[in-house]
Amino acid sequence: MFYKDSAHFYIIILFLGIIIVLALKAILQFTQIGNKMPAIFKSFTKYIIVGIILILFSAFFEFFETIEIINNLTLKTQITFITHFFFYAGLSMFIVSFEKLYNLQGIYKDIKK
Amino acid sequence: MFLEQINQKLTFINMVIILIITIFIVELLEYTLFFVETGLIHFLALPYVLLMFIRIKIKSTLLDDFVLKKILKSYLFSLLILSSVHVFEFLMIKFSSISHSLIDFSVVLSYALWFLFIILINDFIIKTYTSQKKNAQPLQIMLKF
Repeated sequence: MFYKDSAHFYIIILFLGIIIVLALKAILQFTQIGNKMPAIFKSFTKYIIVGIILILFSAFFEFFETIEIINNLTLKTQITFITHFFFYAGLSMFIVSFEKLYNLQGIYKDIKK
Repeated sequence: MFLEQINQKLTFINMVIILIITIFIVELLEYTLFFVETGLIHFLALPYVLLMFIRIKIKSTLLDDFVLKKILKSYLFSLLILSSVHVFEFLMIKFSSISHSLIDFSVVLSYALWFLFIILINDFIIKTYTSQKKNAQPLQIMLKF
């Protein structure tokens, strides 16, 4: 078990910080890709950025699951659920974003015909 | 054909409906503790893994650009691994004696690794399609109209 104020606690906080930085970098890259190649990636990046934010929330609540701060069983259960629901919502967003890539609009649709 | 039919039905509204049904089953049907004690809440990631498999199997309509097709596949492969993380978590909780906190921590680590992988793919896209080299220009023009 990882308890508050132990060395593990700070290591996990460090990793949470790393995840936030990586997620921000990924979001910036996706916005850059969406702006540079709007015909293909614009709608795809919109959904994938929402998905990344949801995964980030999931990681944040997973952090509470990892550390033994909360002793209330009901609250703990709800935190486990919230973690997973955010995760599943994120995955749903990714699946939807790929639908946008599979069904490209505009000139690409005409070429395919 | 069957896979293609499923693939076409994975729209935003359908995914939201699936999510709401999942939340409804888990939260409102008085099985709350059942889902945590059996670890079944982790196992609910399995349908998403299957949906990712379907997405990988179906051929994309990204014209004949093999680079974009490979990028798409690598995105999907990384997502397949990410979605299967919780299935692995379920198996670890069931069949190993490692402490739960450590397993949860490994999930957090896997998120970090996934973000790293995504950043690498994005970097590749940005370098390939938006570089200022002369030989990359025809491709850029084709992608921008």
